[in-house]
Amino acid sequence: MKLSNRRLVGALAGIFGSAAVLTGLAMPAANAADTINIISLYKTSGGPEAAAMKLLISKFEAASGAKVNLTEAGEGLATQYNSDLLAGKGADLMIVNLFDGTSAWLENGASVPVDGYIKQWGLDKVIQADALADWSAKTGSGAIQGFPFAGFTWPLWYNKSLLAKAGIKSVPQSTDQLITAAKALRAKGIAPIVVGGSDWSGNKLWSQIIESYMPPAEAKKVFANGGYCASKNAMKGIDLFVKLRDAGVFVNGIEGYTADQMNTAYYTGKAAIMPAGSWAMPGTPPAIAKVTEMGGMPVPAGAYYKKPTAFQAYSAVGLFVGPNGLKKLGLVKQFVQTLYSAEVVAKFVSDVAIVPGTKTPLTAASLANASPLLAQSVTVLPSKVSYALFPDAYVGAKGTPLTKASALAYGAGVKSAAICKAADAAYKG
Amino acid sequence: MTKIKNEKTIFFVLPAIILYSSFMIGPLIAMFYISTLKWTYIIAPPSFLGLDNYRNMFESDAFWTALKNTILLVATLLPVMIPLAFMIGYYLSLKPRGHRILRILMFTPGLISMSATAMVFFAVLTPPGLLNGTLNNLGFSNENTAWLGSTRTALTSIWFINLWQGVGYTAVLMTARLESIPREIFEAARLDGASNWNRMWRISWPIILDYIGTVTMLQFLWTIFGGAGLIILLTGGGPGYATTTLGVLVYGKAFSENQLGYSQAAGVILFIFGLLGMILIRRFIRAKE
Amino acid sequence: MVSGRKSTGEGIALVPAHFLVWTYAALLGIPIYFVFASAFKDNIAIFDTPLALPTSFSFNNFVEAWNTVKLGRGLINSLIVTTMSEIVTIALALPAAYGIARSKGKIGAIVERFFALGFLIPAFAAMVPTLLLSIKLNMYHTLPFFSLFLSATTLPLSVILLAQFMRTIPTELEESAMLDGATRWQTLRFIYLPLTRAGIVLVVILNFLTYWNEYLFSLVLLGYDTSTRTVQVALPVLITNSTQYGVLLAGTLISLIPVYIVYIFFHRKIEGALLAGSIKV
Repeated sequence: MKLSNRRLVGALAGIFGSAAVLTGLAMPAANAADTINIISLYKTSGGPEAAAMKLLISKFEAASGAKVNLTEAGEGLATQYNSDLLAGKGADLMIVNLFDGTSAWLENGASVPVDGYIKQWGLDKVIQADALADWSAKTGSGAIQGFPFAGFTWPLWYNKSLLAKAGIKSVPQSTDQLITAAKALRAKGIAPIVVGGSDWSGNKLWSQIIESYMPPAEAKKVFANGGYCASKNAMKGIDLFVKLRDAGVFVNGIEGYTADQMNTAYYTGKAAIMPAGSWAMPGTPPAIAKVTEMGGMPVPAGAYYKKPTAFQAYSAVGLFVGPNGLKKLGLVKQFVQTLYSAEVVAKFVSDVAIVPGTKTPLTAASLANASPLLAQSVTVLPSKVSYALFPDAYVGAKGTPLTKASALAYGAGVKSAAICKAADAAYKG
Repeated sequence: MTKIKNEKTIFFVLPAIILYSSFMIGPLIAMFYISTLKWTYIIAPPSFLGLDNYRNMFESDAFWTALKNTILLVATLLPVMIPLAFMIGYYLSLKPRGHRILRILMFTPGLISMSATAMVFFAVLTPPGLLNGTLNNLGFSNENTAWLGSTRTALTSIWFINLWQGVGYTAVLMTARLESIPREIFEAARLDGASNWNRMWRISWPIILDYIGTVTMLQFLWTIFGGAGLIILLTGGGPGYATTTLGVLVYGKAFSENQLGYSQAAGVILFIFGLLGMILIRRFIRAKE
Repeated sequence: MVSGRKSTGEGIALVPAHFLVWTYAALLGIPIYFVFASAFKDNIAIFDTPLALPTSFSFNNFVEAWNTVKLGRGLINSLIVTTMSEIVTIALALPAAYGIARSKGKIGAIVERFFALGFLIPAFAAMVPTLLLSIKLNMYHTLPFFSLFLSATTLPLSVILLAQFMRTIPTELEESAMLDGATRWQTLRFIYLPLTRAGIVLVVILNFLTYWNEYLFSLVLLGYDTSTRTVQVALPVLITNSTQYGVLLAGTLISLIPVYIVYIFFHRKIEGALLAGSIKV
């Protein structure tokens, strides 16, 4: 290397070295009394929730005079928070959904139960009882793990114009009708049901179908502890799943699909039916939204549920309080109140299509700004479906291995015995 | 007197050893220790468990499938990849037309990050993706195979992706070494009438055999350790356990299933497996000399 | 290097090789094209017509990726970490490799074994203890700590590769230098350094890739705070329940540009180094 090159490298090294040292020495925002540290799944740019988040933060800062130090995290949020906590730098508040990674916080002391605050701050009048139920721990004392905020509905979406093309006049209600409809759709080159067979979306539909014959009490047990092979009703559900699969109710190659592809297939009119949650509503092209009717997953004769099933729960995004947040309860209270304020809730409803966990009445006026699909799901859908037990809270940490079992189930030719065995294996070790 | 005496050698190697030991030896010991703990989430308090993690592991289908898949993958991948990479490397060292572009292209798999690679192959192998699209256009069956989602094809798909990733990158490494072989040796052989094929296998191969051994070990280690990340991104080890390897088990148990103790037990087995593999590779290379 | 005219026989024999190599090259080029094209499309276009040329070449996705996850800061952090790690690694590996290559007694062999064993340590075994170490040292989520760690992980490869290159240098060169009164350090600096240039460049490039593309440890040891996160950690923040893949791939493309620049730049250095080296030898 020429001497001048070496000097250049030396200089660069010097600059970067000092920059690095300085950066390293500059600690992230200190725990000043007028700052609140939040780690959040919701972002302030680049997502449908951006404007709503900005509103929430600006309202809070105006009301409290404090600053929000926001860390926007991705899927590794729980991991980051955990190591932050270990390092003594855990956030005060966590805005994230309730899943196995975050529901483990309570029992490990990484988040604090909020029952007391809900009562103290009069929030039991503000929050829906169902939402509080969803957020209470399924093990231990049943304490409430965090402040519920966003709920969702998870119906089946039916593209009426595609159905009409195949000569199907109304949305199938029974599994026999579904099989007939699937045949007619395939004859026209339209995929019937599309779902992300390889991931969480397929896992949810699979659970939904398995549940057809199970009373909620039994479903809770099986989802929490396994024992699919041993449960007669679960096995009937698995047999039903296999029957539907082999009758061609799912798109070809379903076991390789992901949720994003499911959305795309439905949005581009390639598939007629998809089970999707309300988060998919903001992104739906208006033309498709116009011809979509919300419904449920058809049920067989003799099922426990009398109407087609759908899910609705409040375990989407909520607010957790970390041990560090206990030092700033005043600010926490103000943040929670701002979060639950009518203006903020309405903005989230209209932009993100959440089903609010607060008792905010969803009038036609407020829904008018939101997606028409959300309006449908909240006003018309409830009378058409029965709500099945939402498995996530009970499945807990077994979600990932169980999803591998459901991915297996979508494969052609896989037998019921293999499926229940794989599901049971997910609960071992 | 060009050999350095022991005392002096220490001066040269000490800084490297210190840095290395601080960051790697301690953790290695920690891995063995953690494998004896019942430790779920990192914030959960660990408790001593003895060898129970190992017992659970040896009794589980997941572990034995993972072991089988790892052996299968490595034993069939390396014997194909290394010779291919060597041949391509030799070809490049001849500086044929367009070799500059080729070198840059060849190195691409090594340049792009794992998540980018996963995105690309997802787009290729997904049922409505590039591969099926091409096959359909070429007139093959309209099956819409889920290459990564079906138990019949998932592991094979991973095999091909690993091959795609490793060959180009390794070939460029080979070229770098081949080019420092003095040209006179080849000239002499050529004048003696040796064809390219012979010069490649009879002359270059033995000369850089040591280097090939190193490169093989690199690829072996990358496949069993680094390859796991790619599998996790593409299939999560599924469907079922079809694509679960030992590395996937370690990752998955630690981060998806939050069982640190179990994960480290699998890590210990993986370490032993790696050790055995390295010894085997070295034996194999020595035997060829 | 003098590439002589090949005889016709040899030229023809190479035809199958041309074909196979270029087919493989095409298989390599397609994914690059896919990433490139998708960066200008939206989700529907990406999934529906993945190989089609984009209908418009607007930079919206790039701007969105840049702003949403503050890619600029992420790139700077990646650059700082990479540079620091490179410097530390080369500074430590060069002498170590020299020591091993020219060691008289058993120590050299032992040290080489020591580093060879280092390859075997599964990287994620180091995760939790390293995290705990960073907390103990009060360097949690700091760039210098992370750079030192990265450096340590690539020492085995760097040392062993450099030692291999150094072994190919004829000992007579050193002998004559020492007869002229040069010290060890001088021989290292003025004889070995220039002659192992190809090896050094190779190690620098390989390490650059490791450092730049590293994700898992960056996530744990540097986290999501924009002040410390690298570009690889910033990008996946774009993944949500309804990811905009065009934006994600545009961001990925941005993160690939430095990689290609470095590679192409250093690639020429390798060629130059080898040219210089071979003329002497």
